[in-house]
Amino acid sequence: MMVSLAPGGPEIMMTMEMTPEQQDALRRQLGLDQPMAVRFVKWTASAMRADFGRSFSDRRRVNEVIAERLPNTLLLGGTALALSILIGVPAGIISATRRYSVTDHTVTFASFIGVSIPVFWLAIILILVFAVRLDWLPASGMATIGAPYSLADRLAHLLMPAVVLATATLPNLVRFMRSALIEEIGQDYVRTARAKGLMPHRVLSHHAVRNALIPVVTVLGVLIPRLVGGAVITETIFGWPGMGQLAVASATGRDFPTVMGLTVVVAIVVIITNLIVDLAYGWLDPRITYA
Amino acid sequence: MHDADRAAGPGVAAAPTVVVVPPPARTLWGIAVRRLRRNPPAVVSLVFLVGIHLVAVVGPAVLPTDPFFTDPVASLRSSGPEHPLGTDEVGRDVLARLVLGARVSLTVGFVAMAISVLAGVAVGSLSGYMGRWIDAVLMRFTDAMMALPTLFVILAAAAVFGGGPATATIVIGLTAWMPVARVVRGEYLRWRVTEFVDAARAIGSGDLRVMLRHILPQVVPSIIVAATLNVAFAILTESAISYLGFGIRPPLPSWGNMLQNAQIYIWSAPNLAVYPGVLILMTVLAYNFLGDGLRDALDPRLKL
Repeated sequence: MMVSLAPGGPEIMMTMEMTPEQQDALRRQLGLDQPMAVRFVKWTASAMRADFGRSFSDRRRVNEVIAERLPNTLLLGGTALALSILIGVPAGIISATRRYSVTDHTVTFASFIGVSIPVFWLAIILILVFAVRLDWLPASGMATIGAPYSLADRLAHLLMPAVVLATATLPNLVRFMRSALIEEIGQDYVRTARAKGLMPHRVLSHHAVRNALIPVVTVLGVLIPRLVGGAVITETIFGWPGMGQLAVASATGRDFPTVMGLTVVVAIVVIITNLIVDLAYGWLDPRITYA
Repeated sequence: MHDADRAAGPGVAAAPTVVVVPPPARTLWGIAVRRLRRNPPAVVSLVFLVGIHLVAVVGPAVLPTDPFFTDPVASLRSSGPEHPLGTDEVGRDVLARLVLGARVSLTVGFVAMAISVLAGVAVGSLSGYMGRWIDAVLMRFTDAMMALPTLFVILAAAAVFGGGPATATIVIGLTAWMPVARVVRGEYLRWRVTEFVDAARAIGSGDLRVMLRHILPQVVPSIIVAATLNVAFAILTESAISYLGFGIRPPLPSWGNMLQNAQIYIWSAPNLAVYPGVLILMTVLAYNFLGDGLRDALDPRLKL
């Protein structure tokens, strides 16, 4: 809605060699001759029916454009999230069980660096090393142009962006896993489990880790918007044809319907994933029921 | 630890006029300072941050080179006597731009932090102190804001207002207040049921007075921690949106927008990509270490 208030507006890039008549015609065609309030009400009404209008740039339906991009972003985000969990949870466990050891300090320091490194800078460095210098991985895109689809090719294109995107969530996950597990290890029930003679690894896997995962799952819910935000940068740098890249392109081109549609769709995706996270509680913690 | 203990009391080392040497401080702040001293990463970070802020404040005035002076003949030079860190693609001195960029990036970081802390404290204290429907409404609003990915909001705002430093700073601030609000709310929930608050109310203090004069000082440690971490977040976010071209616009340098073209010239001038990136990383890292150290140091549950 606010987007349509922009000074200049989308006419800016079309006015160079146009007559005033052409400008008026274009404005009418895009609906920009109507007052703001009217446009906002119309937009809201159609957005309610999941119709975000047509893109200013190529007149395609925004729904269609987004539908094209959504799976790519989900693939990239899903891979990054999976990487974060698969690396982050074990790293946190190791760090917590060997507290103040060299391993722990290394993991903690690495996670601090991960939180602090500019994602785009990391991407540039990785491209420099793995794509340019070593030539192991492709620097951009989702597939080799002209080549038939192959899983190996897709994975090669996916690896670097997914690793870069994972730095948006992985370090936080490690730190939360560590502190949650340290908290649980100090609890009485863990001492009881040890006292009754359980193997240490069983105490961990069956008792402490299960309970420590509950707060970690909460953090996942908070981290998912960050993952989506990180996708904006990652997709732009790696030329990954997802929603983040589209958002940058359409914000640059003042393509309001697309920007608005994307923002709404992204919010919906975040809410759905948060719902899944909430439901996961019930599975992890039998005390929680949904009345 | 001997040195740390000796210097812990305020004014022990200098000031020969002081006759009575004060006992080691046992206040919250005294304890916090002592704890912070025993945290090497936090101390190193603090020293680094003081240095970089000094550079940002006095550097641009002291440095003889003009960060805006372009010299196409001397473009993409590597380090040399004339340009200690080389020149960029239009022949501007990289060192001078880094120094001015420090001022720009840190200013954005601080102003955005101030906005986020003000908004967060306002929402959090109101929510925690008032409770009931005010709390419910404000917290649902906070949750909704948290669900919006920062960068998408910033891109939408950039499309509206056309980007630029002011927009970028305000939007970064307005996308970072939610964690502050939650922490502050939690503290207010805890403090509003304490005896000193009852006492203050009993002698007739109004709600506003209780909130600001009685409870707020208890919350200051948490706010300081959140503020420190928010500076880190703001600097990092500024660099990202300036890199994308929606934040600080050249010719004004920021660490983020200095990296905009670095990708293109990464072979002919890798220093262009390295210096600003390393500065962002080190500054943000230092703020995170400091914030983490402060959190431990100010935690009243931990004993000395």
